[in-house]
Formats: sequence, C-alpha cells, structure tokens
Amino acid sequence: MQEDSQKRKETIGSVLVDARSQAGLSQAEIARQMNLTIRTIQALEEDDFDRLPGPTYVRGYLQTYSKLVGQDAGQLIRIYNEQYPAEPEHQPPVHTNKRRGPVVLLAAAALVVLAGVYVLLQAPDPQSSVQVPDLAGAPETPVATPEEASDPPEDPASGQKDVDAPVDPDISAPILSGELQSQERPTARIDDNEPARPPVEAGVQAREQRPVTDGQPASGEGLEVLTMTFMDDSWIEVRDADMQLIMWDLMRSGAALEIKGKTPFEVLLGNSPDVVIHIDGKRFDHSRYHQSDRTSRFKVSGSMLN
Amino acid sequence: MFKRVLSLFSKDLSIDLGTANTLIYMHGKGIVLNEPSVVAIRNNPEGGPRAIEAVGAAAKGMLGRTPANIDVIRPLKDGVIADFTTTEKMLQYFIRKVHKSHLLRPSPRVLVCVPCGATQVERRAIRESALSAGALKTYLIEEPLAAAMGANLPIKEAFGSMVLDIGGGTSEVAVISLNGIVYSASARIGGDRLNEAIINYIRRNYGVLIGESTAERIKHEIGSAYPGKEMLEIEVKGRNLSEGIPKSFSLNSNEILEALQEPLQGIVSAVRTALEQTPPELGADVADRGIVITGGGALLRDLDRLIMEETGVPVVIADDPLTSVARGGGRVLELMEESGTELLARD
Repeated sequence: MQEDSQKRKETIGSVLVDARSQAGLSQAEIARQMNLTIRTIQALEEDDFDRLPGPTYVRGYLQTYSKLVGQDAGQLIRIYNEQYPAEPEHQPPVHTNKRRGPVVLLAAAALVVLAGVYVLLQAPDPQSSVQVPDLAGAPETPVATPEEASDPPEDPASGQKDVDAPVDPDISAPILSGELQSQERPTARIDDNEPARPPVEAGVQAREQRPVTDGQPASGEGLEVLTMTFMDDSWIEVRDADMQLIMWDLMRSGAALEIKGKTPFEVLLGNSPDVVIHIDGKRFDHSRYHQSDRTSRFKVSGSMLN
Repeated sequence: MFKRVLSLFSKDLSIDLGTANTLIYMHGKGIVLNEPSVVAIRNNPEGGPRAIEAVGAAAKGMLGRTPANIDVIRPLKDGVIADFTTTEKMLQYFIRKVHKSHLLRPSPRVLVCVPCGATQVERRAIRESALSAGALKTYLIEEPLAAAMGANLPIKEAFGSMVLDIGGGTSEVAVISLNGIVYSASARIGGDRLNEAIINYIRRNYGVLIGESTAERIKHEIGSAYPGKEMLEIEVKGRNLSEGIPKSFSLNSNEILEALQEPLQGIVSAVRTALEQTPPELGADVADRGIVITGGGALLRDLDRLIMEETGVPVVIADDPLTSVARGGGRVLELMEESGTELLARD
C-alpha cells in the first residue's frame, strides 16, 4: 500500500491531484481560475501531455496550477523536464559549421600572404616613410614634394586669417589636433584597440560599408587643413588618406575643430546638416551627402574644390 | 573582402538591444552577455574630447552618483536609438567584449531585434549603428517574433500564438501564425514606466524623492501586479523634499500595487485591443492555449494573474523570460541557412 502511494507520487498528475484534494478544490474550480478547459486540467492530472499544446505552455500551466494549490512548482517542472527534455537550443553543436573548418585555414593562409604582400609594398615606398614622421612631428612645416615645390603652397597662416574662415585662431588654440587625439585617449576603454587597427583592414572596411563617393582625386598627397564648425552637437570621425582614424569625438554645439593631415580625408558626421566644413580655408558644401538620418560620409580634399 | 575574411573568425550574434538591458546570444555558446544599456561619458573640462568612462554594469552603478563631469547616458529610449553615436560605441564595446579571446577585430553577422512599432528611420538607425560597430552584415527581426522563437512557441503551425514581450521601454504584443505576424502592437510602457510610477507615488504620498535605482529595487523586491495573500515590506531611503534631508521609511507591497496600477492598465488594455483585433480563428486558439509573457516585465509578481483576470484568457510565463528575445534571435540565425530570411523584418 505504501509502495503504491510512493509510486503514485512520482508522477506529476498524482502530485497535482493530491495537492488539489488537500486544498479542497475541484477540477472545475481550477479550470475556472486558470481560464482553461476541464479537459486540459484532466490531461495535466492524467500526465497526458501529448494532448496539450507544447512544453512552454505545459510548464506555464504547471506553474500556475502549483501556485493555486500551494505546491512547489519547481519540483513538478523538474520532473516534467526529465520526462520531456527541452530542445537543446543552448547547446547547438559548437562546430557544426563544417564548411567553415577548411575555409578558416584557407583564410588564415590568405591572410599571411596578404600581410606579406602588404609589408613588401609598404617597405620600399620612400614617400610614405617621409610623410609619416612629418605628420606627427612638424605639422606646421610640411615637407614640400616635387609637385608642391613647383607650385608653391599657400601659407598656412594666411589660410587661418582668411575672412571666410569660421574659426578664430584663439578659439581653436586649445583644440587638440587630429594627430594628438589619436594618441591621447587613455580613458576610452572601448577604443584601446582603435589605433592598432591595421590600415588595410580599415580601408577595406570603409569601402565595404558605403560606396566610395564619386569624383575622388587619385592623388591628394599634400597636407591640408580641415576646419569644422558645429552649429549643433554632432558625432564626427575623420580618417586621413592612409585610412588612419585621426579623430573621433562627440562635438558640442558652437565648437570648432581643425585637423591637419594627408588628404583626401574621409569624414563621417552624425549630424551632418549642422556642420560647416572648410578645407584649406575654402568652404566645402557637403549637403549632397546628407542621409535621411542626418548622417553623412564623404571624402574631401582641396583639389575637389577646383 | 578583408572584412569577410575577418567574419570567418567571428561568431554570429543575436542582439536584443533593449532600453534597459542589452543581451547577446552567440551562435554555439548561448547567452554570452547581459548588461545594462548604459554608457558613462567623461567630459574633458578643458573642452577636449569626451571619453567613454564605463559601459554596461559598471556604468549603471554610476547612475545618479556621478560628479558634474561624468554623464551617464541611456542611449536607447522606448526601444529605439535616442543617441546614435553612444549606441554605436556601446555596441562596439559589447561586440568586442564577447569576442575578447580573438586577436583580430570581430566582424560577425549580427541579427538585431527591433520593436514592431519602430519606424523606418529608427530601423535604419539600428542597422547603421550595428554596421558601424563592426558587424559584417546586419539583419533585423521584429521583437515579438524573436520572443516567440525564444519561448519555443509552435509558430510554424497554423495556430495562433499570442506573445506579450514586456521590455524596459516598450511592451509588444503580437499574434503569430505560420511564421508570420498577423497582428502586432507596441505600447510605450515598460519597466522604466513602472519605476517612474513608483518614484511619483512616493513623492506624492511621502514627500520623498528617491532615485531610479532605488525604485527598481523596490519593484524587484516587493512589486506585484495583483493583490497577494502575503504583504511584503521594504525599508527605503530618500530625500525629504520639504526638509531637504535624507529620510528612511518603509513601504509595503499594497502601496506599490497601487502605484503600478496606471502603467499596468496600459499593458492590459494593449492586450485587450490585440484580442479584439485578432481574427476569430486565431483568437480562439489564443483563448484555448493562452498568452505567453516574455521580457523582464514578466518577472513582476502576479502579472500573469492580473492579465488572466482582466482578459479571461490563460496566461503563461516563458522559461527564462529575460533572455527569450536574444535566444529567439539566435535560433533564427541558426535556422537562416536552412529556411532563409522568411522570419526577418524588412526595412
């Protein structure tokens, strides 16, 4: 007799029936309180779960039923889960993607080759090795390339004094230059890796995300001054000709920014219509790049104005 | 192309970009991140660039406790992006965090869940934000559909399944059949509105101002949606508005029940409207099987009982309701190669 009772208690239905009798409730009363049909309650009490809609619903019904009769729902759900294990959605085969195995190896090999080619292409290029220290070290006195020597560049100081230039040198004085920004970002946790991004990767990423705007000059080797004035808060991101991220920040309304670097600059603006852009003192109209969400992404260099 | 190569080293992600919490489900690993959608930004007093001070749980800990030069921002509001750039940085941080063992910058395929009430512009902002944060490709899915997938509802069948997803900013209710949404509605009521209601109630009745974190603690510990047998109490500290000094007092669950009545009625009326608008055959299926609740709101004590009493329809709470949407999105990603993009949202 005792064995029989022990056996009965092992099933969910019997536990529910016992608890319901102890609470003095009828099947109809439980069905009314749970807004279910008596047939559903009978199915639960007879452990006939195949007549019920599905595991999610059954677990929910067990939860509510247990609460009504003062039973521990956790225990019943554990028994149910043992009988009807949940779909193994948390443990999909970790490496099910068979096609990826060899592809990953191939990709790794391709990467090594690409990296080698990149290093080979970069190493003997005398121009880039001159330009980089030049950019970081002495931004005010750019080394003139042969082309620039034949066509003397405008004095940077005269560019600053241009009547149309929106930035007062005094105002822009405390503003950090682009190069400094990229080096001084110690507290930005999420950007710790940013400067380490390989240039090849950055370049390709930019091209994949948005089509490159038409009419880009192929060369644009010189250093130019990009000036931005903000009528309203806007996010900005500026990359130089080498696709190095030289400036990113949220600029406040009324702020002005001056960046010197190798053009064409690739500029991303979060609030494009409220930013006024000058390149080497000349106004650059970027209204055609405005997107519906007020962002814009474009390339800009002095030669585009000619 | 380089990004495509990088994608081979990244795992597909499903992101539940919620107003209160962001969850990430990684293909093959399950839920790998569950952090508050909060970013702390340090302003440079000299007018220089602003720097990200903390993201996620660390930033949430700072909420209401920051000096003047740190802003704690919740970049999402009502389930959609309110601050594009901060959202982008937050996503970038989260995507890197879940790929931290990788040497290369992650470039995964990402599925992001959007409220069904999101406009085209809001959807585009979410898509762009994920792309800018480093995703190779972004897919969008309506939140209720992902929630139903995560709750293991039989959405493929020709039966109506109703799901109510109560998030931080919005509550979404939808009727789903044959892998598609038949009816959906989004009410801008969620966990945040419940917190607000508690703050307002305490200010009105006790003349004491409490912070958002305290309101949330009250909601978790003694909040309920339906009068229960036992009455719970909690000790709370706030600032007395008339005297201006801190004051300690105790609150009971009946008071919080009263405070939450208004927003809860909003949710109930959204469900009622959904039941009214559902085609009769599907409505009968829902009345027979019940409404499934997912999202953090499902954890509010006796919410199922309230909706059951008010609508006369059975109500069940999904297993692990907080992660239903992210898990559902993950399943859609896993099924995508077999069943295509049928479940995905269009722009």
